[in-house]
Amino acid sequence: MTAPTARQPLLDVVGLRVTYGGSWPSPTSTCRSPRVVSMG
Amino acid sequence: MAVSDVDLQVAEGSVYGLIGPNGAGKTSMVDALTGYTKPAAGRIMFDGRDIGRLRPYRRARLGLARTFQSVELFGDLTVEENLLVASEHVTVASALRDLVLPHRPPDRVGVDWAISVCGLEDVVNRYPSEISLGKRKLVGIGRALARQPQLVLLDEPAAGLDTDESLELGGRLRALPQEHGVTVFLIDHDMGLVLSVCDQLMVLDFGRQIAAGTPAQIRDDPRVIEAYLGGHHAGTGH
Repeated sequence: MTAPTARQPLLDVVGLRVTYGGSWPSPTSTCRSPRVVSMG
Repeated sequence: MAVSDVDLQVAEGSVYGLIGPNGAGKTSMVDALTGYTKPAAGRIMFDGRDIGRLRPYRRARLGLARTFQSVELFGDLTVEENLLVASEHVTVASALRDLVLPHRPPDRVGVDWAISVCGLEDVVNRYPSEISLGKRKLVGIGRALARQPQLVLLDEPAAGLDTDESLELGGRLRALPQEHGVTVFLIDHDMGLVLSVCDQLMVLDFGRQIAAGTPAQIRDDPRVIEAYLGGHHAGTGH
């Protein structure tokens, strides 16, 4: 019986640290709110 | 700190579980792995490639799919249409092609496969409001699978399911790597489900990895028992 070949993991995470509020900027964060125009 | 100095390796063709009490940092970790949160530190390698700086859609195109805790389906689209929307690979070229050929037939390969894998054949023409929560959860998983990913991260797929639905889900999750070649990263509070379907597990508590190993090793680990039943978590119900 041969030893199984060591395979690279599909997902390999090392030293992951996440802080609260670390989100990417929202794609719409620089968009202005639509202006409400009075129609009289 | 939502997640602190976590190491993990997910083998191809396996089911990897992530468990922990409420607020342990499980979803924060999945958000970081899939690009929805920017990590403060660490390295994320997927299929031999450093993906730590890629945006979510780039990671998805590489074969890293996910579901969310709340299944947000399009209520005015059928189950099949919900999956078709998810399978679309939208690029500038495809948008221009749609202008020229607006009735181009969609690529159904991934959708038909996802319908089969998730057992949705009997509800493809139904609307989300017409099917059970268990089926809606499977549609959410099917939507993630419609692009035929290598790895799917499932964020609490069994939440709100009854025992029968949870058992059915467990069977389908186990089949994903064994029969369909999709590696699974599973987060759930249903300990019975997680311990029965996972090959390897990691337990988070207050953002830190407190245990890792096989289900048998995790089941008897005193740190895990303390995290779930100990004084500082008494009353959380998990």
